[in-house]
Amino acid sequence: MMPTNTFEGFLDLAGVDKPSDEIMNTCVRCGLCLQSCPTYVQLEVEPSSPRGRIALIRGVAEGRLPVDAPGFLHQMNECLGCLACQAVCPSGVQYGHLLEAGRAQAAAVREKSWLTKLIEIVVYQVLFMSPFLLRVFGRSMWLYQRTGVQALVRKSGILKLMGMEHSEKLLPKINDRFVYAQGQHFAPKLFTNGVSQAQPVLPKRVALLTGCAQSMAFAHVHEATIRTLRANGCEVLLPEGQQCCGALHAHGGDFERARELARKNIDALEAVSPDIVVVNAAGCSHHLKEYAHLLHDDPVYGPKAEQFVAKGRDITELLAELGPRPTQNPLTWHVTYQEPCHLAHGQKVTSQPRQVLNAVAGLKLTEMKDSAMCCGSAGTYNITQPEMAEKLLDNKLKNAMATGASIIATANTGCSIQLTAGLKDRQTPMPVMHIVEILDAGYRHDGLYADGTFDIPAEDDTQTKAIVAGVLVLTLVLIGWVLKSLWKRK
Amino acid sequence: MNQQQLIIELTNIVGASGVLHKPEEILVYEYDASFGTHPPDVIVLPTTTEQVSQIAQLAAQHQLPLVVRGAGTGLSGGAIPLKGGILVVLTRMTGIRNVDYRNRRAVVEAGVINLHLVNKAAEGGYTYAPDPGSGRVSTIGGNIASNAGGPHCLAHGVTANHILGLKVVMPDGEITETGGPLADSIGYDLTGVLVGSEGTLGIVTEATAQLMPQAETVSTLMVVFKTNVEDASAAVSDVIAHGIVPTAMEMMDGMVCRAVEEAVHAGYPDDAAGVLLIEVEGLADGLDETMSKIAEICREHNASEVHRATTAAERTALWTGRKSALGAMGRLAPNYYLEDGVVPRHKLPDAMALVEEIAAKYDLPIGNFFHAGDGNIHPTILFDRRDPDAKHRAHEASVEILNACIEMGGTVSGEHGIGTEKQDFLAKLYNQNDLDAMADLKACFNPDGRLNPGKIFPKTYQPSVTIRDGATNGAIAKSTTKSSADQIAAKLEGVVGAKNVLTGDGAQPYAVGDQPPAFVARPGSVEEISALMRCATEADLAVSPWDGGAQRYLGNPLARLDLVISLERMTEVLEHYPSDLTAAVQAGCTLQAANESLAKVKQMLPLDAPLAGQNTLGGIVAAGPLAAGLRRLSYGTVRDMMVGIQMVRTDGRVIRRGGMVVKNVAGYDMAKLQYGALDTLGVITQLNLKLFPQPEDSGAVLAGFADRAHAGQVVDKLMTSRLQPATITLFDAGLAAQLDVSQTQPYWLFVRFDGRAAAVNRQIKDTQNWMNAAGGGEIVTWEAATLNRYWTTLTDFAQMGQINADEALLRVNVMPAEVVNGLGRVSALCREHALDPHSLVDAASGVIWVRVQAEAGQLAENLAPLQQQLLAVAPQTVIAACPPELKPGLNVWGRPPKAAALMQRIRNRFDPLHILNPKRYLLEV
Repeated sequence: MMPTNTFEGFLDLAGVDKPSDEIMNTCVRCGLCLQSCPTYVQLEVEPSSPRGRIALIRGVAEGRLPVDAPGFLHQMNECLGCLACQAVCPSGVQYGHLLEAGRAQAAAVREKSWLTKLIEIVVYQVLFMSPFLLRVFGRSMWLYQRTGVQALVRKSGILKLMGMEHSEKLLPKINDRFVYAQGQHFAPKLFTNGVSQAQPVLPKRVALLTGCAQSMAFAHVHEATIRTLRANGCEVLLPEGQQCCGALHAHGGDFERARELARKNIDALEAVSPDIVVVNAAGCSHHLKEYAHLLHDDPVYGPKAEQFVAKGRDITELLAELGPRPTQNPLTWHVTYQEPCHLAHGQKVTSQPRQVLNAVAGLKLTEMKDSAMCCGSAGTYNITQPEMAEKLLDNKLKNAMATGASIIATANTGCSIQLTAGLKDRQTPMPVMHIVEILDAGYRHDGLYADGTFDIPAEDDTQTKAIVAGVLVLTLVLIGWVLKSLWKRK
Repeated sequence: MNQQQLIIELTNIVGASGVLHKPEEILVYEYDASFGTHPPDVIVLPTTTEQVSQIAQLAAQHQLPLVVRGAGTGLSGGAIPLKGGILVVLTRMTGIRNVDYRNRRAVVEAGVINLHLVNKAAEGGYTYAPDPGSGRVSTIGGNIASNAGGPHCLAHGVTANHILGLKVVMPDGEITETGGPLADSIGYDLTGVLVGSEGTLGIVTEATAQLMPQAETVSTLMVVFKTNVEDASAAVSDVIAHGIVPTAMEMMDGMVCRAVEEAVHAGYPDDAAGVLLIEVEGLADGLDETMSKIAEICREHNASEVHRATTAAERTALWTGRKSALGAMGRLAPNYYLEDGVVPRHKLPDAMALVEEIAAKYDLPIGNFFHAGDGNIHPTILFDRRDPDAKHRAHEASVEILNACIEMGGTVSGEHGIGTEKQDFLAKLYNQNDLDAMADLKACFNPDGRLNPGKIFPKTYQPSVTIRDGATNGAIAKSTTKSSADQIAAKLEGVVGAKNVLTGDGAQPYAVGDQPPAFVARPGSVEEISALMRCATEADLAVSPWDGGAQRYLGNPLARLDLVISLERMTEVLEHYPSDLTAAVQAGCTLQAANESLAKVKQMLPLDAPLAGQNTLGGIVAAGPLAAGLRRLSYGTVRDMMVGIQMVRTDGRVIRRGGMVVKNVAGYDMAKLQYGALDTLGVITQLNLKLFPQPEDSGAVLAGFADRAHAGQVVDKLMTSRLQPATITLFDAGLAAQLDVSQTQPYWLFVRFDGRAAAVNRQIKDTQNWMNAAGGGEIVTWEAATLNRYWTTLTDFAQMGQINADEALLRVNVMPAEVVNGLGRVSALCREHALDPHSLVDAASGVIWVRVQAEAGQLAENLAPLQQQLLAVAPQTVIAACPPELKPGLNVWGRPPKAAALMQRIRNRFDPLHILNPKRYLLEV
């Protein structure tokens, strides 16, 4: 049953963490976090600030507020989890950990409609736990987009009817070719970083986390990652058996599944004994580095996770470590960089992405105002808190456009989706690219890939199965819609 | 009124999104960055001054406590609603209304973040100087409430030195304004009193802030001391003793360095006992020599490493580290007591040793990071509040440290305020009389104490009976029978001795205006002044403190004058701490005598008041803006130099505020209240002053101009450049004759520079070039010796000690950018009224002094209409001096200030019988 109005502090739910007293106590209420917080800057009220949210969590912990107090529940949602506060906190408050635990508590008591519950079960417990089913879903969406059904549906007004107009807009363009882990192995191609021919770079064994949505909607980023790493002397592996990183689950407070995914990924990726585990979505690279914290109570996986985390790198971080090989042929692009929160704040990786961009000859980088202020994407935030997300997006795009740049560079899936949707809404034809794609474009422009040896082989037939299954699902969904609308008309 | 009704009414004022009242909203507004907590009843977030006024009216109507909050980063509990009530949060008042680079002003709302103002100023190449550690999140309103300082206030001063005017909502909802955009305001310095009053006197909703040009170069040293922190403290004193005043001198001990390094990787060593960050700003010329000299001094004090930051990034990293020090303490322990004591700079090594001892005694780690240059220490006691014993020990240790600060002649708050955290220390710092004076002041603003109740004053403080009555502050009743002259003389003689009472012809030279007093008393001590004031109150004698006669023609004719109190026997420099750059001087000391004494150690009071040989320091404070000197652009006025005051109230009570330290936010600033108050609130007996080292070199450049506009081009150039002129003065041919420069040029521009020889030379050269380019002719440069010879001719131009029968001296204050046009306008108006004008213009401050000469007997009929016309263009037109017989028909003080009624309340409270300078001041026309 739903426990309510306990006034006894946080719930003791099986598998659900409590916000740590230790962490709460490190907050000395100095307030230095306030202006870094996107929601505080927008609303200028203490409850919408990191210090206020910690006070609310403390209030529940001390039994001064019920765990289902609407203000507490609201704040656990309103927070973007961008970690900008954590990055500036001089006391070193691990705000992210407090928030995740607070969210888990909120999730346990929040009243939800049966539809929300169903969607959550389908999304978190089914789709994102099974790479295969997710691919089937992905292919269905691909069909939906390519067969003209999308256009039809959008025109029909049915989305509005279902209250899904906003969320549907955020559906990224699904790739024709997926890149997912099937145990592929790509040998290194070039062994020097191009700066000093005399000092060959030792080949590094790099395992790529292909992730969930990334492998279907950002497969081109995976391809660029593989090519650029090979061009920088790395051996790239896509070990089989890996899964979604689990960030969505952890941020949503579902720690059990987050841990399950973490264990599977550690096993799958460590199986090929990599030197480095690279991730090309900042949200995921950040979460990968959180595995040690997530599994700290696990006697078996705790120590494993610590070793594993030491190998974790964001792609921008790894490329910067490698050099990277500068491009030769000037690529006269004008770029501005939107910093993903989980890269800039969560991992404090700020100079490396710029270093990678600066390796592209001829590229002009103009910094935007508040480049590290959240764009409003924040995982599923743009779906759950569309109003605040839109405000932040609007600021972000205004700042980006004010630079006069023609391309927005970023390094995270969520940001890309949010920015692309926002630009489309504003009818601004401005591409959003991952940094690694820009470097990749530079190499291509140099003619580095001309001999075809960098080509990535086509997907195998599992894909076809997925497509078939996808068609079926889509048909069923369509029939369902038709029936529903017919029924409504009656 | 019930809560629901209150919410509805507040919602009517600010809308639903501006009223917070749910338990989970109340919960997050019960704290600030201090230890205390107390929930408000309701929180309201207004967006305009008018809304604040309506909220205050509502609170007044229902007798509810009213507490103001900015970002809630205060460390003294100033924003905690101790008695509940309405918490007014100003974070939504974020308008930067007007940034005027040429005039170096910005008008900002109270909720503007300090850093946002700094960034805005930087767009034009300017800066806003106060830089508290919380600057990236704290609001200007909060900075004003606690008179925030920061690392760079060693050279630039604290918030009070950078705020020109305020818009204030009084507890009853009345909206008033103090000061304003002009350099000076006539009347009591309410701005100076409100800054640092911790939200207990009024709700500041808007402020006019002073900007300054960014420095041409900034150089930062990191100095590492391996053996002990006392070495670092000694080095700080020694640098200043060498006449070098860096912009900032910040100290961190080893423990703090390591914590900070872990937090932000600023580049601090991990094995230091102490690190000093020393920053010097200014012109590039000669800077290297200064930095080398500092390095050399530090090495003499056993510095093991002196590292000069070479890149902006490195410099930023060093400062980010320093600014993160407080928060980084959170890494070492869950809780801390952050102290904010101040000791005289030369006591720093003792203070450090003592803190170390206390840490050992109470077995608690204490981190030290502080503004060493100001003697403002921040011992940070680390503990875990869940351990009751540790919490208790932390409290004891903190009490011991602050007590020691008081014993060393310092104070208990340099920049954080008193709030709720340090109230009880005020009982040790001040006596009943001192606190009563502050309570009297508070009663004028916040009579029923509803505004931020329970703050600042010690919990045990009970106002003296007379104050509660409110009717009179006189502990002594006015005598019902009129004393005879002989009786009075006898009484006065009883106090100061027969030879120190003058009457008749002997009293003649002490005439104020042309009114000689019946008696002159020459007391030799504060006790005697106190006794004299008691006599005066009893016998209802009108009293005028003597300023050496330097301002005798200032103000309206006295309604009556019985007694002049001359401090000519109280002229000592009582204490002088060269390495602290502070001195305590008796108020009867003349400016010249003080400077002669200070010159022995190459220090000075660059006040430049006229008639320095007779003008007393007390008189200079009393005259305020009217005696402000020409070099205020570099050094400020006496308002910025007063760090402590002693004065005698009309009933004889002696009060003190401040000490021998340069930062002090402990109770209201009673010294500022005396600035420009023309002795209407008490008799100033002693001043503690911040001193300056004499500059290594001085020089000036002069050029003649055929018209004002061309001279104005050079003024604009100077005011928007990064040069650091000490004065930019414009005068006409009249003064040219006295300065032995050609009288063929109608206008002369005079620019003086003080500083390192190389910098002076370079600035003179730059200015010469600009003068040339603007068509300046007969350019002359003066070296220090020539400059010194002519300097008093310039400073004495505006003297108010002598006036010819057909002459008057006017002071017109306009915005700095309008000064050149203003001069034209003023001169033309004078001529239209058949008055021959001679002017001296302080172009940097916008002050135009005009001495007008009339044909014999013509002054009377022309002066009044002239002033009427001047007032229409410049409301602050003061007739600083004119023949006294003309005054009755004149409005010598110009337009009354907006807060005149409030000033009158203060006047009545401090001088209920109006025995001090009756009717002479602007309030009682």
